[in-house]
Amino acid sequence: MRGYRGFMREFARTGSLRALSLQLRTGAAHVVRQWFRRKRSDPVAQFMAYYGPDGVARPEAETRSLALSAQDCLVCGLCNLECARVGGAPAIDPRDAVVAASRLEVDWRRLGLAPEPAGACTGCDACSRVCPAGIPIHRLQAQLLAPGAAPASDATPGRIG
Amino acid sequence: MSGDGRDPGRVAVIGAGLAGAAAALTLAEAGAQVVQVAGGPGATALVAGTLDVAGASPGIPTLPWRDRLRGNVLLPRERLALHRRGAPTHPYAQLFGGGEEIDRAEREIEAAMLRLAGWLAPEGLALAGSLAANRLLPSVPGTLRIADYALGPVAGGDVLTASELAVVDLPALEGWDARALARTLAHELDALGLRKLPLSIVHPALPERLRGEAGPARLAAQLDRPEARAALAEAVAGLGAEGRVLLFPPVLGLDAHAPLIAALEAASGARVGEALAFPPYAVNGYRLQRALDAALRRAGIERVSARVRSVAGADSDRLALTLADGQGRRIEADAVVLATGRFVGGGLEACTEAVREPLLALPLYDGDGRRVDGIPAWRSARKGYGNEQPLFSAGVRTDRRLRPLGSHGRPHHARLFAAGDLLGGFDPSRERTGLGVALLSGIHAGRAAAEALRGPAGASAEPGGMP
Repeated sequence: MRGYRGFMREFARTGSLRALSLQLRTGAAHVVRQWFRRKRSDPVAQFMAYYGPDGVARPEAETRSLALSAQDCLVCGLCNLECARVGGAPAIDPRDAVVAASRLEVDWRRLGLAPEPAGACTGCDACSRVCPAGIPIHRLQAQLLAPGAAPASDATPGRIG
Repeated sequence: MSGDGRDPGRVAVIGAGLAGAAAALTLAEAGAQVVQVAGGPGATALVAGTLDVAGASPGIPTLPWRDRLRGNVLLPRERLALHRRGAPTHPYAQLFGGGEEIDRAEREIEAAMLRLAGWLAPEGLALAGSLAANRLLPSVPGTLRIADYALGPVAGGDVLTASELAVVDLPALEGWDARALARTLAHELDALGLRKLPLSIVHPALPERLRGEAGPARLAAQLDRPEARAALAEAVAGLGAEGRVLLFPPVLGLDAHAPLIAALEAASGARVGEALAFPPYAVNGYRLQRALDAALRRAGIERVSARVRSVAGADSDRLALTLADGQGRRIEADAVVLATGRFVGGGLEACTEAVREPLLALPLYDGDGRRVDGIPAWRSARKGYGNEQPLFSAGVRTDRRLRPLGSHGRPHHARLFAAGDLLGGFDPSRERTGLGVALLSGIHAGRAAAEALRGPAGASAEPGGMP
């Protein structure tokens, strides 16, 4: 890919133009929506007035701290190895759960992506104990199944050791 | 041990990687009471399976896995000699003394490798290699890596001692493409100017259960079971020939890899090796970590699974660790070995404001000898792809006894020692001596700490060399 022209050719070839137009339309929808909503003094309340109807909710402190800790992931996969060794077979591998959680803070059930209880993680903390980044992976897994119902918080993970 | 009836002294080793394990095991062998504090595995669990000690040849602007100097592949011993001349800030300079005592460095490396092999042997994890010969090990994508020492399962894949190589095709396994591996391998051998190696792909008839498994971790865990072992051995029966190597993906068992490889070799009649892989295939680093953990347990070393928040000198011959376990528990010790690693292990932090050593705020120096603690990481970065980054060589400076220096240039505390990647002055990713430094400095720091417990605090005598 060389220069702007090459970029645009690649862009059109892969159908990204369609993605761009979708993005522009969505962006325009937000601008229009903001014209017609009542202004509030509290910025958070104002944000929720705009986007609450889309199903956007304020993340609970617990959810937020989990998503932030997931961003320390090195994608090393030791959790997958340990999970397989202790005989676990969750529908979503622990590493994939962490990677997903580090990028998206979403309600998995609403998107139809939450695993069935039969394929769920059993909640043993083998994966969390081998995590070099100290991510509470088993709590992330629990959250995939039932957002907002993660087990009680352990000590805040540090970074040493 | 002092003669006045006091206990032999308690040493806290912070870190679970090879450096921490080597220090803890050395201290336990010297009779010290050791407590190992670690929040989880460090960078050791993420290695591909080689234990590089000799280093790349410095000043040669090739990719680090192609050590070519005037068309020759240098022997590990020659690379070590070149490396020591060309890298005066490397921790080897502190460990082996200055410049010319090359024999001493070789003797100490060979002795340290023997000790490591002894620690790993009870778990069935072999260690192969020497300073007298190179090994050329294929990776999962098919590139070649020069190694001096390597863990047994990957050492079997050495192409220099094979007369024929057969890549085992497992079509369902993600990330494993036997055809692409063989093609890249042929190019690599050609690029290195080595003789052509007959390459083939074999398709063992696997049982249904193993054939469909896509995840490397789950396949490796399944192959730990005796019935899966027997089934795979049956599938490769008769695939061997004189001098042939069967190259597998690194999934031949998590714990029971030794009996599986022995069964495969017996059934096929060929030598069996695993391809090298980094995470997320990191099964050999995982095996190394588990074997080290088992060795520590066998030695009766207490393990505290918690992260450390801070370390402080309680007085001239005691230190106190504060744990980040929610209750702020304290551990007092007569000596402390810091083996906390760098950015992966958490021994160094690079947050947006500054690079720092979080436990004691020790001064840090980068590869150019500039002080970098307290300066944002981006200020030390060099622009451009492939440029050497001095920040990747950042770490503490120590005296000859591996005691980290404070900002005044004297040891921070008489009984505080450092080992492994936390020692600055080298870039493990470019110079490839990460595990070599971890092992040698771990043993060295363990000896120095044991000596400090015996002698009066603050003794400044040089430590005795390793036998």
